[in-house]
Amino acid sequence: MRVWIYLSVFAALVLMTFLELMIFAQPLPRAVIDMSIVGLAGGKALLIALFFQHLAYEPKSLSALAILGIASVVAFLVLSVYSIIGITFR
Amino acid sequence: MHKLIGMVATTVDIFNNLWSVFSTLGVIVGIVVISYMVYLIVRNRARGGAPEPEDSPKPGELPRERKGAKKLLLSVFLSASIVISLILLTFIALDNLDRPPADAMEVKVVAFQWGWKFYYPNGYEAVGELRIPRGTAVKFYVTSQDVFHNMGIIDLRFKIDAIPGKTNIGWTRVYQAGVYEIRCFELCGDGHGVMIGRLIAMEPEEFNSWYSSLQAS
Amino acid sequence: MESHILPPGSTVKRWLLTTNHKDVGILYLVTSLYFLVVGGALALLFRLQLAGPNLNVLSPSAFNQAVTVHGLIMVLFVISPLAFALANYIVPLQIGARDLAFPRLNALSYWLYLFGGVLVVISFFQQRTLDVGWTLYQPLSSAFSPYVGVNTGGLGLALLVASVTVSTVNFVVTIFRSRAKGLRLTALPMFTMCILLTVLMMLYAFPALLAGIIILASDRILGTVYFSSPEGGAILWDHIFWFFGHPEVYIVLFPALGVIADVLVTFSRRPLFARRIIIAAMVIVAGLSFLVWGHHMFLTGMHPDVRRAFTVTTIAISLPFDAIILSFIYTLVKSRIELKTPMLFALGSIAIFIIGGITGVFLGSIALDYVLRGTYFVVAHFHYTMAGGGLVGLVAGVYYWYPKMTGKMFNEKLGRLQFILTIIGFNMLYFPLFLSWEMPRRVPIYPENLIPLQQVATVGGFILGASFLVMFWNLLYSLKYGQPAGDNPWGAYTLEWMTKSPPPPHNFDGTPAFINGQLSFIAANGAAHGEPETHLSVWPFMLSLASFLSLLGLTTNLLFTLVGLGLLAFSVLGLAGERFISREEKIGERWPFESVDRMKLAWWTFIASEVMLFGVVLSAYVYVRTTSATWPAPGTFFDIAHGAVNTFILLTSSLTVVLALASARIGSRAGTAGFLAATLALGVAFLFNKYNEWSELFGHGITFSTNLPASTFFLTTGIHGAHVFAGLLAITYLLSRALRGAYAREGHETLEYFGYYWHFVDIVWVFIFPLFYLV
Repeated sequence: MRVWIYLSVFAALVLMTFLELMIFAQPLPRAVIDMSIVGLAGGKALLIALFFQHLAYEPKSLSALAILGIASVVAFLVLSVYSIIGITFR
Repeated sequence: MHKLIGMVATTVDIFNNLWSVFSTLGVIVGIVVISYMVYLIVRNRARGGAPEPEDSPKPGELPRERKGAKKLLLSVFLSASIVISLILLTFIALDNLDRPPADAMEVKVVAFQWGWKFYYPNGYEAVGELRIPRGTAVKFYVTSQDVFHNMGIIDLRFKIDAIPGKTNIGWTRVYQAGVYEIRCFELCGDGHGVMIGRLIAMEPEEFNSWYSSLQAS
Repeated sequence: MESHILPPGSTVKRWLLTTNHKDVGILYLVTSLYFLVVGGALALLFRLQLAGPNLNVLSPSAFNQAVTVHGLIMVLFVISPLAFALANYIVPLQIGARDLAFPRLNALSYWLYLFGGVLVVISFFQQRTLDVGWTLYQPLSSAFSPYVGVNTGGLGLALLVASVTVSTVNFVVTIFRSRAKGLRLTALPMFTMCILLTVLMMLYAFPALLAGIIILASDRILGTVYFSSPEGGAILWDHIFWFFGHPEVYIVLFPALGVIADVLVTFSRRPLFARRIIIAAMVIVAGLSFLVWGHHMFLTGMHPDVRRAFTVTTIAISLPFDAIILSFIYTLVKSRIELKTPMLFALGSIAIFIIGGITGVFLGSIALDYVLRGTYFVVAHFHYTMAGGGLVGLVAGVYYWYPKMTGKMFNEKLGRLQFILTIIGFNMLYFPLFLSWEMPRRVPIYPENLIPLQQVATVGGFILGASFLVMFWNLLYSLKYGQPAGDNPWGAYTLEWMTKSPPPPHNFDGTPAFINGQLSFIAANGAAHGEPETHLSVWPFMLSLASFLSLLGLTTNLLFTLVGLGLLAFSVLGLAGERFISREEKIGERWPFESVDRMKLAWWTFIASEVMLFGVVLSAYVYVRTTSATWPAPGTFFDIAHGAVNTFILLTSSLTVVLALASARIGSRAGTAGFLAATLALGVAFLFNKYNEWSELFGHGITFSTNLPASTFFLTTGIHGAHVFAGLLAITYLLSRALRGAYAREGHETLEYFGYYWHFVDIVWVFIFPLFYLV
């Protein structure tokens, strides 16, 4: 039965959220805080997708549909934000 | 057109040189490819009694494979080399366009619905009309106070986006005294078609006496 | 045998209720040709204005409206829907399916498309319709365009995007899951192959447009300041629009390439040259199409590295096109060409597209683009590609499959006449525009030295228009007086020709299968299937009508919206409760989704589009944060406590959803209903907390239009909240059925599918929380 997996994934998600909140309050450089928090969010998303949405048990082709979307979004994000780096807006 | 000996390149030269290469090659490639296609059509047109090609697809089959990778890759390699050399030429031209001459006169341009405001180095503001000395490069700092515009002086092969909140930089140089039309090349509302300004290239002496008589506002 | 299940074609009932893919294809065909007339008439209007240098046929505003709506209608309401008219009719036949995977969704796509178009047409009668260019540049189309007609037109586009999303899901599932046994993916007929690539591009491109339209509508209606802020808002729109817009160019073109490839083989009697390389090239183009959008923005002053990257990708994408077009031409070597009308149009389309392709290289060269940008050269170029490559190629398809669709042969002489008129009119219209390259686009007046060129173009426009009248006449005339065509008049080899013309409702007698590469039909054991499949449903029409009324009310009278929303709820329940039978074949070629049933595949395809929607909305947020110099420090503007509480609520609700599923699997009615009820309660708690948070912000005087942090926060969490709300409606429905014992006995998959959606909404929040509250 998968129930114990669901419960441990849930525990991990709650734990990671507390971790995010703790890191936020640490006297660390901004960049380190930001990166670790966003990294943790990515980890949480992955856990949900793999175990709650059961992608871990499905053929990879199904994940590919979502991964292609994520790849396009990343391309959009990186290129559009990079294109304005160093430009001052009023 | 302005390639007088000893003079520095203008935006017109940069464009015209590139344009002539592209259009010559473009026309040749277009004619060759389309003629080849027409030749194949005329040559292979079915006439009464001509036999079916041996490998013609039969009803209810899966698609047949027909070899040709080598021939195709060779053709693509050929066109790739044309395109890539064209792009190298482009990068050389772009390099020149990206580097405004050091001696340029600096003018700030603010586009609005529907006209152009020009600010000279001494702070003088002119609406709709920009006077410059011929022979001197002009460096434009272009922005917009309302919507997206594009400042184009097509006779000088010069164009730059005018975007609210952002300043773009471009340059041009005129050797011939005269009046050049400045138009908007990005749809900006009802007055888009009549958003016309004038660039007046004057003899340097004339310009200097006019410029020094200005009251900065 | 099954023909009695559809009312005769002369009845209104048949066309309002049909879900059969062939009927829907005909509906698409007629509607797209109707919009072709609308878009063409607008074009002729402004060609009349341009018949002289300073005429007064149209006011400047009317001119801008004509130009704008012409562009939008032709690209979104004519070319793509015409392609999907053919795809609807032909794709299931080419792959040996009885229908699309979801016949009712297919009808829904059509009606949403039609009503979207109706909204655009209605906007004409609200003082002013869209007059800001089909690219809707900002802030002209937000802060500087207060007209209500622009809202209506924009909402029409939103309905179209909904239609596209639905049909994308449908075609992806159909082509992956409903192929005849032995029809491997790589052996697909080229038209179906191109439609597959087209819908995959649509899947990832159209949600970006939807995101753009939502942000734009929010700026216009709610007062958010994404695009009107001077902090880079204008360029943000460019990025979003062209990220959609460049793939859209290929979305418009690919179906035509597929038609051309099939027509070339049939009429040259030879296999396609280097077919596998063509397919590889098309896959490369489809992928790269998401990485070239920046070349529409070379002059906006972007970072030099990015400009260089976009130049490289733009050059790179021209090379696979070389391979495709050259293969098409090489196919003709040692062939036996029959110049029937479809072949004439296919060859004409290739020739025109070559010119469009070559001039595309001009525009890919940044230094030339700097000067050619915004001129008639661009106009000429994209008409040679999209109208010449796209529309003319699709006309080949209309003639090619007309005998299959009607059982009648069209008039060959009239077909040739149209071809001659099209080629002459097209080139007279668009070639002079290349030569007018010094003239800005979208201006109603021009200098006198351009009079000859512009007048030739206007005459050409009318000849091109006339050529389509010849086609309409031919199609109508032949419907009544055409000779019987027979099943396979062209001697083609693909599967759609291996059945009657027109095909029966179930397409094939027996199940087609390719055994050792040769087609055979496995006898249908109809009795074993039980009840016959359903081909009629009223709900697609009702749902679309309801959506139409809801949106229409937003710009006219809110009463319409109220009626619309009521009807919407009624129709959704009607659709969900309807007994509609559509079976998947027992055997088939399903790589790479053999073990994924069609509902699961459909849900994941839909989730992929949602990934894009939220991805672009969140990217827009990151973008405006990067441009803004005055962003408040994290933790100071929004209350972290609210965000954290909501995070825990949503995470818990995800757990209850999977536990409901687990309970259903072991047959526990109480567990299923209990965990669903818990999910419902958690969802309500989430929205309640959200409501409190918003109220507090409003209480502090922070509204949609306060600043960029507020705008982005309200819109992003608002879109997310709307998804939660939709989820709650679904849970209510699931719960009401679970209480009556559903899912615990059978059908627990439904809970799994719902979970995909709910967990996805949770994942979005997992990113929203840190991005807005913590970093």
